Amino acid sequence: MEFLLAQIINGLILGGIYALLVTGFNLLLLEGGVFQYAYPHLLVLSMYVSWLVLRVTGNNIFLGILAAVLSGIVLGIATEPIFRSLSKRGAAVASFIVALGIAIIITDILSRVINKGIQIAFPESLKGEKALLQFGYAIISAGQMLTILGSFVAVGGIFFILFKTKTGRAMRAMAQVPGVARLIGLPVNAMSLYSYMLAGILGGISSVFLIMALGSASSGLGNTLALKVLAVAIFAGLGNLGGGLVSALILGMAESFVMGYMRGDWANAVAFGMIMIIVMVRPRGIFGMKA
Amino acid sequence: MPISLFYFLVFTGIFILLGWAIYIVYRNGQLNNVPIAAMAVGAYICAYLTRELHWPFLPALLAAMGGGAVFSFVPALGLGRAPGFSMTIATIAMIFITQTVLRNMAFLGGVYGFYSIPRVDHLLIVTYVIVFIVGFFIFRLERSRIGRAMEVVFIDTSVARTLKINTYWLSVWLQVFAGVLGAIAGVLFANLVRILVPRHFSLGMLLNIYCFMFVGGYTTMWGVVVFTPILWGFPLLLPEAVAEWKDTIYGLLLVVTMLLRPEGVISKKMLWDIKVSVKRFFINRRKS
Repeated sequence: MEFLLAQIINGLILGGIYALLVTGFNLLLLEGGVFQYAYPHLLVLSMYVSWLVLRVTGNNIFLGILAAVLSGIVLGIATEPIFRSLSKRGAAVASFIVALGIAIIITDILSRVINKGIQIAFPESLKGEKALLQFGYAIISAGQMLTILGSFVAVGGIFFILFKTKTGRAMRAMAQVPGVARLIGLPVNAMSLYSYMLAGILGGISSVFLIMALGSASSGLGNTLALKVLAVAIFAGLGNLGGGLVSALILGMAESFVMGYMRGDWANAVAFGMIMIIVMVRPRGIFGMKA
Repeated sequence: MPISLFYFLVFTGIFILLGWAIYIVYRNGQLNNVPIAAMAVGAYICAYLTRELHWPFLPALLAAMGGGAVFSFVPALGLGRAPGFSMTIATIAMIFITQTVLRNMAFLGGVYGFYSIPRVDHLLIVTYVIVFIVGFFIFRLERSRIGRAMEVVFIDTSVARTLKINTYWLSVWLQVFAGVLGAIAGVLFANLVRILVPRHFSLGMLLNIYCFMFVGGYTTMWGVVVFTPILWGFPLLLPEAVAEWKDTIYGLLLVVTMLLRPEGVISKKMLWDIKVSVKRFFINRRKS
């Protein structure tokens, strides 16, 4: 029973992080038609920036977290001009290839330059391992609780902006009919920049939660996360924000249970196997495509 | 022949085959990555048959091609209707699934790899005979009714359907063809390196092929042919300290090409313009 509970907690943590990432990814897909494969790579870059700040400041946790979030925003906004022309001419495949190029560059630089390419480790104090709740052997630590709650609050915040504010309405209008949005005088470029900023915030927050959950990072993490995010997005249906959340939780839980009950090596294969089946049976995802 | 030149030439042939495998399905408007997974299947089938069962090269090659065809046919039945990006990601997922399965198969060496694979005689000649045959087949295919149908599907799927083109079966058969090409590339690869490890058939290999195809040009089969030796070869000529950054250079090339010349360096229009210029040159010469 305790083992089952531990898997559910792990599943919620994984699902929460995937939900953050898939929301940011879908936001970029809806707003600019950009297939941002390198989005998780930028997040990993934020983790490395945080690690450098922690080293320079003698493990100042506040500055480390701030650096992760701020670098997430800056990196998100910095990529907007690269994708702008592709977005305007509706070149979705080209955007995927450009993102792939960015991902290769980030992975290569991280594997050679920072810490001589060796995996980086974060201070134990960042993990928040103090037990908050205990059910037999199963423990919910402060870090885990913060990750679960923080993920849902952050995603809730983005949904609030999108569905309850004037800016959000403008963004949704832009996502649905970009030409008409421009005709009725919506500041399309500013809105596009705004969506990159929101995606950057989500990326920055997820990098903090990943630091807490994993306690380490390596150059290959970007590719692993990218495939998981794409898997969740396709599982739900590309651009489906609500469906993305549900799928993130399903996939997080499935992965956690496979890791718990099967050899770890099979976890990714099961996750990707699920994607294969969904794409073959329901090519437009479980909840339908919106992009 | 120097051993480095031999390896360079055979690898170039293998990458051209893989580039064509991805190109041929992309001409139908779908980015399919099955050839990398099929390459692993073909390589392991050939390696097992030649080392363990002592099969000669040709039957092993045919068996690997059959394996590649079956391996790509089953998912193609489902992926034939999948929207472009879903197919891209699902087929990347296939690469990971194949790697995981191979890692866990003890009789194929698992993570430690499959060693001492016998090498076929005259591998370089065999490679380029295959490249020539496949190239000729694709050249003829593109000029056939199927090639014209692919062209229409690439431009507009709805128009293709109104022209009564069966886009589903066209996609399925092209995916199978791509799988067979991947398996052939795998057989040549197994004969060249003679040690197979699952991580050979990874995302890194796919990214190299993407670079050769998208930088070279995806609207004609000649983009891959011209740019594979250039892009694969130039890091070998650079000083070691610079050549180490090969992946970054490839990434930059991809980004710059897609932003400045989205159709790649060699496009159909460019080839047409060259053809017209050459014709005009000879006509003017004859007149003068």
